[in-house]
Amino acid sequence: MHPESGGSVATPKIRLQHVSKRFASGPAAVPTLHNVDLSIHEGDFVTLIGPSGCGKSTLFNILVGLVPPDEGGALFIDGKQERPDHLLGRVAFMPQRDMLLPWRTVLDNAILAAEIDGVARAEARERARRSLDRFGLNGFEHYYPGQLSGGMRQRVALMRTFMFDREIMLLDEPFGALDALTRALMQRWLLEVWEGARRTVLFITHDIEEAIFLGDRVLVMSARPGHIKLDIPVRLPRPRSPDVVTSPEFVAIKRDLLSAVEDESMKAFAAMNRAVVEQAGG
Amino acid sequence: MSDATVTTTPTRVAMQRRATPRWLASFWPPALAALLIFAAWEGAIWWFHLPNFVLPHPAEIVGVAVQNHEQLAADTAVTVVESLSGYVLGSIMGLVVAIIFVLIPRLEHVLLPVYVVVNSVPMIAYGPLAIIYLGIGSASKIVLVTIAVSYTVLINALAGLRSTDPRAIDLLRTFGATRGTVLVKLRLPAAMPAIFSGLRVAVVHAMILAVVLEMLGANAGLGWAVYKSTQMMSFVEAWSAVAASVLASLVIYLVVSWVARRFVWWS
Amino acid sequence: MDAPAVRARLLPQLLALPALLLLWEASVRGLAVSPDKLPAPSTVLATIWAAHTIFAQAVGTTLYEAVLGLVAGTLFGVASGVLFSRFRLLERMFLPYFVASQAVPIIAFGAIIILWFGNGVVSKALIAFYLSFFPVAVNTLVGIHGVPAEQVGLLRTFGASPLTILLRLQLPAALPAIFTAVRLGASLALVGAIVGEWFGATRGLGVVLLTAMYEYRMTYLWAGILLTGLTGVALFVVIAALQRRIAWWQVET
Repeated sequence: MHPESGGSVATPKIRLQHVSKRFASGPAAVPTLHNVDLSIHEGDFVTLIGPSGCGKSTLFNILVGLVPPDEGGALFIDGKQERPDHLLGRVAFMPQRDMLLPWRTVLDNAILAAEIDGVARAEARERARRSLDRFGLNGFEHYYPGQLSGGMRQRVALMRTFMFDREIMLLDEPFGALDALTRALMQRWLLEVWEGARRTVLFITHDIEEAIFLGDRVLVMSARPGHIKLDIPVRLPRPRSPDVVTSPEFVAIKRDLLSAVEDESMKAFAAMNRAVVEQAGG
Repeated sequence: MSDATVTTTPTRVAMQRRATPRWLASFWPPALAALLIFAAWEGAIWWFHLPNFVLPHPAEIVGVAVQNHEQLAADTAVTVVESLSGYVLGSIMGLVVAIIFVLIPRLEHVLLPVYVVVNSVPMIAYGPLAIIYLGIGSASKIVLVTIAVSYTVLINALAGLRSTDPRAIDLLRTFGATRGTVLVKLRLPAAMPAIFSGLRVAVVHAMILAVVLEMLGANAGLGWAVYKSTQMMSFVEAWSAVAASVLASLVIYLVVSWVARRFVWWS
Repeated sequence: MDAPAVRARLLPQLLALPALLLLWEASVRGLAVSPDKLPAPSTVLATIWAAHTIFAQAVGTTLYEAVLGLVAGTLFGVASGVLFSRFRLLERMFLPYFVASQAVPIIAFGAIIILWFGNGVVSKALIAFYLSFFPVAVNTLVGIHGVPAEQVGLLRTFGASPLTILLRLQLPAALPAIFTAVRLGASLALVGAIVGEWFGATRGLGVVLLTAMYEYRMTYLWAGILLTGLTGVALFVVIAALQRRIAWWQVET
């Protein structure tokens, strides 16, 4: 069911080749991304972790088409190279903040992406109504975002992302703002939903356990200039049960990831301190 | 933040047995204040033996108002028509220009500073100019009210349209939205609270400006009534005209506020 | 906001004024408009210079009336706001009226004030006073309420008295809101002084405007408009400078 990352001959769903990005800010500016190479196969759930400021969000912005990669970088979807300006609207994207429109009901927020995509409102609403149960929002279709808890708002945002009928989904730390208990529930629930509608998913998180629990593969990004430092397959059986987090395989993977991530975190931390001192004129 | 809960009204209220209903609790202090003011008013008249051309009794003011109610109503109508006409024209103008400025930023860079300079002069200072050019009829008032209101609404609308979270705009772009779609589905609704705030403030400006300009030069209206009464030494009438203008403005403001709340219920 | 940023923001407006004046000058000359219809800026400026004592007196008088009223209104306004924050009953009784006063033309009451207090400076200052008093009081209260309860609690755990909390925490925290109200009060005070002069005065910008209107003297009228605008801007500049010195930690636009 899950093509293993090494040794598969199938064309990857997404492939990034030598993707770099430098935001112009002086000769001494460190590039945000440098030679990112990664491949993701269809139906995979790949998680990405890395220290703050390592360029995870920039990578997503490039994948989604909001930001073009620097010269020399190439993006392939289904084996075909894509021009950066043709990417907008190809990928279902969920940003860190739910970005729900406060003047729209839960239902209308859920259909927002589909509506802009050209789906007729009535049809989109019908589809959304049928999915309410799966997203745990039964009975809340006429509520407004201001009346919902954080977890519910994330579910509405996720529903919106799923309703945008694309094969590729990018989720940028969707559970970052939730408390630990809610997060655990949401992770299990997300896997359930994903099993039902198998898309190719790239999921950013700063939580190592979340990355292992959710993913078929975990990618570790280095500190700036960001590139893929580590690529670890997660061969734990699906569906993942909650107590997998204490299994020896899980802990082994976690150990590897911890040391890698901590390395990069220390580098990022030092860089941040330097930046603060520079800015204060020291 | 439990996943299952939805925000509801605080249960603490339900658990506390309320001694007084909420509306009464917020009503009696201002009512008490009104009573105190009334008492102080009558007391001052009595204590200082104030003649009625210095400080008339509230009852007298009401009496005169009732007596002259036809004239007062006519004047109120004139002022209200002047201010509301300018208000509607100015609001439309302000909104349209704001949208144009957002769509064509270069126009904004050239035209907005000019408009700001023109409006840095208090609008009343243009009153004599308007009266010379347009006479003492309603036209001079309506024109100035239009300009003043358009400025307020423009500034607020611009702020509102600019206040859209850029991440929300980016998100809609990933859905494949065009600039027009982003404007209609995101920027305009997101700007509503600011726009209605501007509309609420502007209606007050409109009434005040209309009244003040009438005091400068007019042949009808509440401001003119105040001016005329002071010239003719009918002080109680002056008081009643002032009271009428206060009441009319309050009513209009409350109506606009109510409409604003219904339109922008989410903020 | 640092000085270069402020200058960058004001630059378009600062450029707009001369540009506008040039355009005005050019059109009047080019189209040979008679000065009775629309005088050129050069004519207006010449008039101001020629009668500069009168105009200086006018600006001075109106400014004095407005500033006197504004300062008094601010002092009493802050005091009232503090009183309201201390005695909730007072707030509940009177705040609705204070707030409502900003939605109605209380300036119309100025006519009666002039009747009571005559044509002198005091009556205009009184109008300026009550126009600025209410907004400042309301905003002082809003600013004080804006201080998080945890901060107040923290100071109390240090053993601070209510007065200390007021002076060291609540008032400083309320300064940005107070300054916003003072700016509003300044425009209202200026307007109040001018309108008051319309009801009865011998000197002042309002008198200049009124006389120019009755005598159809366009140059004087435009001079009055220009000077009124400059006076208003000057007030704003001074208040902004004060704010930068007193409440520098908050970026207030």
